Amino acid sequence: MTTLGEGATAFDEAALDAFADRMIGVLNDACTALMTSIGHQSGLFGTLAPTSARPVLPRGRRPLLRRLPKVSRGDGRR
Amino acid sequence: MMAEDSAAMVDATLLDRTVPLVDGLDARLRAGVDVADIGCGSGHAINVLARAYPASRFTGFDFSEEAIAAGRAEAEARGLTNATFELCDVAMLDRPDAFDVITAFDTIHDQAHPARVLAAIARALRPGGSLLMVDIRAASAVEDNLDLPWATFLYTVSTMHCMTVSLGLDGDGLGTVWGEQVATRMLREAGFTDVAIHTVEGDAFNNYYVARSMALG
Repeated sequence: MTTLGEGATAFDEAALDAFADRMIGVLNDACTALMTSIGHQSGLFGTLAPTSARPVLPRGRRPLLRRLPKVSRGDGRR
Repeated sequence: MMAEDSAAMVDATLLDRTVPLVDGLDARLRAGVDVADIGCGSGHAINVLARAYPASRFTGFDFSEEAIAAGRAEAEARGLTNATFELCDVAMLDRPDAFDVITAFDTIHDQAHPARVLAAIARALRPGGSLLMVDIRAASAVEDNLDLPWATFLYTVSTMHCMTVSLGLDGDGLGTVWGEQVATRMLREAGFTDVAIHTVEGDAFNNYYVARSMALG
């Protein structure tokens, strides 16, 4: 059995796992932001966006992005 | 940062866990063989091996003058006489039948011309010599990496560094996530046989490919 010195706390494996998961999440999400920026700035998203096959949803059901004023939605063209 | 991260990994795993992956490697290194490290960077792996196996001769190749200087400085500081470093674009490596063992730590996928480098390694190995290639653990197809926890990170690193560096040199742009299937095929095409893929505890990011150069006859 391990004896801990005064003031020492046992190593918390669950906290380590939670930290690792969060850190991987932070890295992945940060990377998604960078790649989204590249996709936008390079015009990739604008090129990929299907203009005729876009589903038409009732106004209230449209995703938030579609309800934003058009000017603030980058379409990737410059 | 890459050098620090990779040095920490080398210290933790190289001698205890990586060397035993190659059948009989410990015994051969003790007896005395010629070893090359391709894309050796700052040369830490070479210097660790050179100190552990004084009977063997180690050569690190890299195209970065700064990295080669760092490798030489560390070898000198440790008083190693069996570790040398050569400035060399490894795609142009022309040392037929010069080595018994060649290592390549996370460097092949960054190459402008990885197939040329693998072919140069195959030529540089004596018949039946061993290659230990450490490279990112992933599948070659995007859809096979959905369960990989850091797939997004890897593909981003690839887009923003590995693939781009290679393409910038008019290279193949293999990318960070070239993956097991492409790596295995390219090793075979370069003339390697008995390709095996190992993993090492403590290094979740990498596969350890062990292969042999074709024996004569």
